[in-house]
Amino acid sequence: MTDKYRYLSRRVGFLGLCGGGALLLALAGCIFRAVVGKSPLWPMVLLGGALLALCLAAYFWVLLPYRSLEATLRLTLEGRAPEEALGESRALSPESGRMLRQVRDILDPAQLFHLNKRQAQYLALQNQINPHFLYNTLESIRSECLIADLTSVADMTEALASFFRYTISKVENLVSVEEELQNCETYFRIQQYRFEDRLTLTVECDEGDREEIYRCRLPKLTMQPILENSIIHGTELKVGTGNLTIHLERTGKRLLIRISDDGVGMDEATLARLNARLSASGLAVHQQGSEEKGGVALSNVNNRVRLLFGQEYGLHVFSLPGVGTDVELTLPAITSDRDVKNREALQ
Amino acid sequence: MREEVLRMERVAYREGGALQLEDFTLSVFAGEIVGLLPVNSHGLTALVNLLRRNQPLQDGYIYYRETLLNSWRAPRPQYNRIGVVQSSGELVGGLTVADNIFVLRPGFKTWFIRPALLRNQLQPLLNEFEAEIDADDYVDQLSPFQRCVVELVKAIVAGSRLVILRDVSTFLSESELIRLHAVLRRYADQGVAFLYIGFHLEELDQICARTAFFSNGRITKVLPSEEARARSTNFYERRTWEEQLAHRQEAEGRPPVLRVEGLTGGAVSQLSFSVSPGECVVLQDLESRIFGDLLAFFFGELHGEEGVVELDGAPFRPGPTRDVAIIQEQPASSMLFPELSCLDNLCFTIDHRLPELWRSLRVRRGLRRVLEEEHGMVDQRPEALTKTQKYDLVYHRILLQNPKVVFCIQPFRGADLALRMHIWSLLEEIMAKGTAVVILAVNLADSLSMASRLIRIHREGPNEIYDRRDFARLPFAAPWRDLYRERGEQP
Repeated sequence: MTDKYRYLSRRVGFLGLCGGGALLLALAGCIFRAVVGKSPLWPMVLLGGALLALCLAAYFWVLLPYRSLEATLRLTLEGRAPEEALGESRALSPESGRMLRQVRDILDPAQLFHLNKRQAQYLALQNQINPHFLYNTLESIRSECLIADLTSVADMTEALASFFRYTISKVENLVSVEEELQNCETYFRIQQYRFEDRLTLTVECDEGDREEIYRCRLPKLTMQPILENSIIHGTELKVGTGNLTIHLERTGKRLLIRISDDGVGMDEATLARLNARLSASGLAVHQQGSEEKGGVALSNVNNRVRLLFGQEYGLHVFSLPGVGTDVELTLPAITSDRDVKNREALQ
Repeated sequence: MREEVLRMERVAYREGGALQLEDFTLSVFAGEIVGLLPVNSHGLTALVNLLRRNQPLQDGYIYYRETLLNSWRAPRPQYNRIGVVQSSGELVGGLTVADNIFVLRPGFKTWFIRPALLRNQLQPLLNEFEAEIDADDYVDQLSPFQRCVVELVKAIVAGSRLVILRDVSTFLSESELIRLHAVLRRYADQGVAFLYIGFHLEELDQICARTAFFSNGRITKVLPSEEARARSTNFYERRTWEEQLAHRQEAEGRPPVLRVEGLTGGAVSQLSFSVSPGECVVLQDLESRIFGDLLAFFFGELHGEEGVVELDGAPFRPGPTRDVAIIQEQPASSMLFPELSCLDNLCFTIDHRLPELWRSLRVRRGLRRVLEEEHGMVDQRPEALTKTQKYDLVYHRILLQNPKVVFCIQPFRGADLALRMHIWSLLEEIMAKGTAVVILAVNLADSLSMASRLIRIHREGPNEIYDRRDFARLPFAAPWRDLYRERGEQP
C-alpha cells in the first residue's frame, strides 16, 4: 500500500476514485430508498461522513506532503536543502521522483568534494612533511634552547611541536572534547608569545558535567579554527586586553560549545551575511564564493559538522559592534564514533 | 546536565508576505529567566505567535524540551504548551478565574464540574501571588495585575514549562512588578523557564540571567545581564541627552504655567505639582489608579473637591480647551482617525489659531502647500503610514495646536528602542517650543531622560518628590538613573 501510493498523483487518483465511488453509492442508496418510499437521510449522512474522511485523508496524505515537497524544492533552489530531504520528499509522480533522486545524486558527490577540499589540503600537507623529521628537529631546537637557558623559546618550541603533532599526525576524524581543548590551549600558548598579557583564555564548564563533556566526541580541528578566527578578526583589532572564553554545556541530546571574544564585533549586515552563508549548504557556499575574508574557517567547520551529523547541527554567530562576537557550535552529545549519523563520511 | 526547554535553530519564518524571522537562534534552559530586548519590534509578534502555535517554517528547527516541535520539513499545525502573558490577555470574559484556568485547559475531560474542588486546588496557587484573587471572581472584574497572575497560573496549570512575558512592566506598577518577579523566581526554582520580553535593560537586569538582543527578526547577541547593563550606555543617545540637559536647566528657572496645589477628587488625593514652560514633570502612579480621574478633572468630567489649580497664573476652569492637550497611550492606534486624510488629522485642533481654516478653501490650500513641504504625504490615509510616521503625525498635531500644557500618558509604552528614541526627540521638540509636558506613567521607561522632577504617587501617605539632582538617589534601577549617577548629581 505504502509503495503503491508513494506518489502524490496516485494518491489524488485514489482519493478521487473513492470520492466518486461514495457519490455513486449514495446516489444508488437514495434511489433505492425513494423506490421503497423511505427518506434518503441515511445515504446522505453516510455520504457526508465519507466526504469528511476524504477531506482529512486529502489534507494529511496529499496537502501536507505536497507542502513539504514545495519547501524542499524552494530550499534546493536557494541552495539550502540537505540532499537527504530530496530523497525523503513525496514526489508528484514516478518521473518526478526519479528526477529528485537524480538531483540528489548530482548534489551529493559535488558537495562531498567541496567539503573535503580543506581536509584534502591537510592530507597533502601531511604527505609533504615527514612528521618525525619535523618533531626531531623541533626537539633539537628545544634542547639547544634549554642548554642556552632560553626557557621561553624552549616552551614555545614544545608548544609548536605539540600543535603539529595533533594537527598533522593524528589522522582520525573524531576526537574527544578534552583532546580538542588541549590543542586549543596549545595554540593559545603559541599566540600568547605574540600577544603576551593582551590576551586571556578561560574555559567554562559546569563542574558536575565536566567529565561527561570531556568524553564527548567531535570532529577534529573544530574548536581551534574558531578560536583562531576570534583572535584574528575579534581581539587582534581591539585596543586593550582581549578576553576569549570557551563555554561548554551539555543537554540531554546536544553539546553546545560557545567561543566568545570581547573584540570589535561586527555590524548587523555583516553578521546577517555570515549567518546566511553558514545556513546555506556546502554547494551554495562554494557557488557564492566562500573565499571571502574571514569566513573560510567557519564555513569549513560548519560544513564538516553538518555533513557528519546532519543539517540540524552546525555553527551560528552572534555579534554586536564594540561588544564582541560569540560563535556557537551545536553538536550531538555522542561518546562513541558509532553514533555518528553519516558514518560513511568518516571513511 | 541542563534541560533545554526551548531551542530555535536557524529559524526563518514568513508571515503576511514578509520575512519576520531570519536565522533566528535562541536557547532557553529549564529554570532560567531569559530576557529579550527588542532593538526594533520587527518580527516580535510573529515570534510569539509562532511559539504559541506551529506555523510552516521557511527554514530551521524548533525544539521544546529537546523534542522536535516544528521544522521546515514537517510542519505540524498545533497549539504548543507555551504560556503567554501580555497586555491583551486571553482570558474569556463572563467566566470565573477557576473556569478559565481549569475548564478551558486543553485536556480537561471531566463530565461534571465541581467548583468546590477547583476552588480548593486553585486557591493555594493564587495565594502565592498575594493578589487577593478568589477562584470564583469573574475575570472581567480583575485588575491588570490580577489578570496577569491568572494568565500565569493558567499556563503553569496547563503544564507549560516555558512562559513568555511580553512587556509586562507597561501595565503593572512598580510594586506589582516586584511581587511578580518574586513569584517568577520561585517558579524558576521549580524548573519553569521564562522568556521575558522587555524594552529596558534596567528592567531585564533585575530578573534575567541572560539578555538576548533582538533586531530585524534575528538574535544578534546574548549577553549575561550584568554585562549587558554595563554596555547599556552604548544604546542610548548619550551625547544628545547631555546637550538637551543644558536646555532643560534654562526652563527650570521660569515661573510655572500650571500649578496644582492639594488637588483632591475621585482617586486623586492631595496632589501638588507645578510645571514651567518647556519643562517636563513625571507623575508616576505606583498603584495605577489616579490618571483617569486626573484627566477627567482637567476636561471637566469630574469636579475637584478641594485644591487650587492655576493655568498661566489664572484659576483654571475645567472643560474642553486648546490650552491643554493630551497624548494618549499608544497614540498611533488611539489618536488617529482612519477615515480622515493625514492633512485633516494634522490640522483639526488648530481652529483656534486659524479660525477660517474649515470655511476657507484658500487657507486650506495654502496650509496644505506648507505642510506638504514640511511633512510630505498629507493626502494619504493614516493606515498607509509606518508606526514612526503615525507618531510623527500625532506629535506634530500637538506642535501645531501649541498648547500650554501637554499630558502624555505612558508615551513610551509598546515602543521599541528606535521608536523610543524618536518619541523622546519629538517630546523635546514640543518642550523646545515652550510647552510644558506632564508625563503620566505607571512605569518610568525613558521618562527620566527628559524629566526635571519626578513625583511618585502612593495610595496612602505623602507623595515622594525627586528633583533632577536627586534622580541618582532613586531606590530602584530606573533607565537613565546610572547616567545621572555618573554626572555625580547627588544632593
